[in-house]
Amino acid sequence: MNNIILQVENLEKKFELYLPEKKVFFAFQNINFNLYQGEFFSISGPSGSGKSSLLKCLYRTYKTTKGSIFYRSSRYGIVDFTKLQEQSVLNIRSNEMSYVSQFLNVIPRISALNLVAEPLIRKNIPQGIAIERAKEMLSRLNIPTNLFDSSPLTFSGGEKQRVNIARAVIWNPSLLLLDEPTASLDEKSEKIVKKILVTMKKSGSTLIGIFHNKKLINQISDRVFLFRKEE
Amino acid sequence: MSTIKPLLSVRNLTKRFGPGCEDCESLTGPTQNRNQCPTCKTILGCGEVSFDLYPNEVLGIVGESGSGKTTLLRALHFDFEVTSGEMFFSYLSENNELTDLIKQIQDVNLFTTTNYVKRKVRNFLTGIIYQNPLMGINLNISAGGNIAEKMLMAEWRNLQTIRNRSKYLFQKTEMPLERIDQSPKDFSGGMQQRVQISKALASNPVLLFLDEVTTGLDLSVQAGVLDLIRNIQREFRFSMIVISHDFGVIRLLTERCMVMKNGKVIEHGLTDQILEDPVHPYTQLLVSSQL
Ligand SMILES: Nc1ncnc2c1ncn2[C@@H]1O[C@H](COP(=O)(O)OP(=O)(O)OP(=O)(O)O)[C@@H](O)[C@H]1O
Ligand SMILES: Nc1ncnc2c1ncn2[C@@H]1O[C@H](COP(=O)(O)OP(=O)(O)O)[C@@H](O)[C@H]1O
Ligand SMILES: [Mg+2]
Ligand SMILES: [Mg+2]
Ligand SMILES: [Zn+2]
Repeated sequence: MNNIILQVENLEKKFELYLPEKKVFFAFQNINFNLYQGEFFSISGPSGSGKSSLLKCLYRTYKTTKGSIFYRSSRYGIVDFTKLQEQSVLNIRSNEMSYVSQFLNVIPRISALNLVAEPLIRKNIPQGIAIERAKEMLSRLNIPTNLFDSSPLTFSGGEKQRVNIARAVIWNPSLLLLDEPTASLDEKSEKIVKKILVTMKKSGSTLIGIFHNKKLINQISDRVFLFRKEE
Repeated sequence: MSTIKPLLSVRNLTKRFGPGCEDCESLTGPTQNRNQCPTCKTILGCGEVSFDLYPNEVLGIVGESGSGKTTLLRALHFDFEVTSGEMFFSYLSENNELTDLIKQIQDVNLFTTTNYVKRKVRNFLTGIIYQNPLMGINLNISAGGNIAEKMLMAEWRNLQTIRNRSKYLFQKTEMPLERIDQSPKDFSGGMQQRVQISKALASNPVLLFLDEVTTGLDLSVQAGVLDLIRNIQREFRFSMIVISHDFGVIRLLTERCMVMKNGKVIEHGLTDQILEDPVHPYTQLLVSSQL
């Protein structure tokens, strides 16, 4: 089974909150699955069942409290991502793994164009080429040209989400984590996004996504993982 | 497995202000919730701090007032003798003039080297930007003179080169060139901070220390100074250690950070993780107290 890219074993996320008073609860427990290279894997389940938390654990935005995430990195080989040195996590985040958050969380005062070009510049692609490719990507996602130089903070929900997607897919990451990336998109934009994701999959990327739209899930996923609400 | 060598490695750095006694260690720190030893009144500035900083990396330090952030930074800048600890600098330079210095400091604990070597490391390889611009710049000489001073300390000799670089940095920091020969005395806080930034950058440092550089500036000026720092770091790719009690600044500038309390590092991690999933009760308090 050497085409496994991610092996999640007995994963648990427990929160211990101290404010306003101490409270301990699980976002999820005992999660096991394998992910194969080139697969489109969907995570589905009721609100609050821990889907976003799982994705954030896979990206290391959340600290896993139990279990392992074995990840096959092209740079480091097979590593337990839950314990990997921070420096290497950052390296993987800029060269292999990308994440589209449920909500856009961008730095103020930076134009949409520069935000989308940034991951390329970080990979040492010359500024001019990066900006050209960012323009193409934004146009492909139907962002009006007159918005390119504005900060997405003032954009509509759907526009923000498309900038977010543009930024994550522009550099062709080999593993893409998607948290409801199409939630505030109209049908037309959703179709465009779907097309982009399918193209990425064809080119060999592996995708994990949380979607609400059942039809979309059925159309694009190879497998669906069902989450139940933790009681 | 490809591993990059850290630019800076710090191990068990401790700085106490005072004579110290047997009780200091057990009676100060976050679990005791104090930084002053009740027995001998010695203050724990920072205790047992260890971390690595990589080339082109920005590391943040957050924590409440008095938690030891400035003490830590000033120790790394050799502003005073430390109580104990190790500091290693490992740097590959294409600049031949630095080769001797770099050979000299290889695998050497810089805290225990001579003042001569410390001064060289400070002048040639680092730069510092203080919260109060008056700590970093001299009001009795012109803005350009202040910037030139840093190059002179790094033994730059060609006056024309120095003059040109001062002008270049003035423009880079978005300052009006016609004011380069004025004293920063009459500059606004934001402008003084820009002169300090130019000065810190003047000798092409590979490591920059920033201590609350935007505190005290009004909000719109803060944004300009932060954007400037962010852009310059991306362009020149030096490493930085950034102190701030403002998570907004930490989020903007850093990818990793450490949280300090009563002189100790209580939590460290990826900046997005610290902000979204703080583990230590004190970090949770800090994050939830943000506006
Ligand atoms: N030279 C000194 N002599 C004695 N005590 C000192 C000295 N410098 C700092 N301290 C003490 O060490 C502790 C840490 O101070 P430090 O300036 O490092 O705090 P800080 O985290 O930078 O705080 P702030 O956010 O207010 O700038 C404080 O209790 C301070 O009073
Ligand atoms: N950073 C956090 N701190 C505390 N609780 C959290 C955090 N993130 C998620 N949770 C909690 O974990 C549970 C799962 O949330 P989430 O993963 O967002 O669910 P889903 O995405 O399936 O709707 C919820 O009870 C949520 O409130
Ligand atoms: Mg969610
Ligand atoms: Mg301070
Ligand atoms: Zn004592």
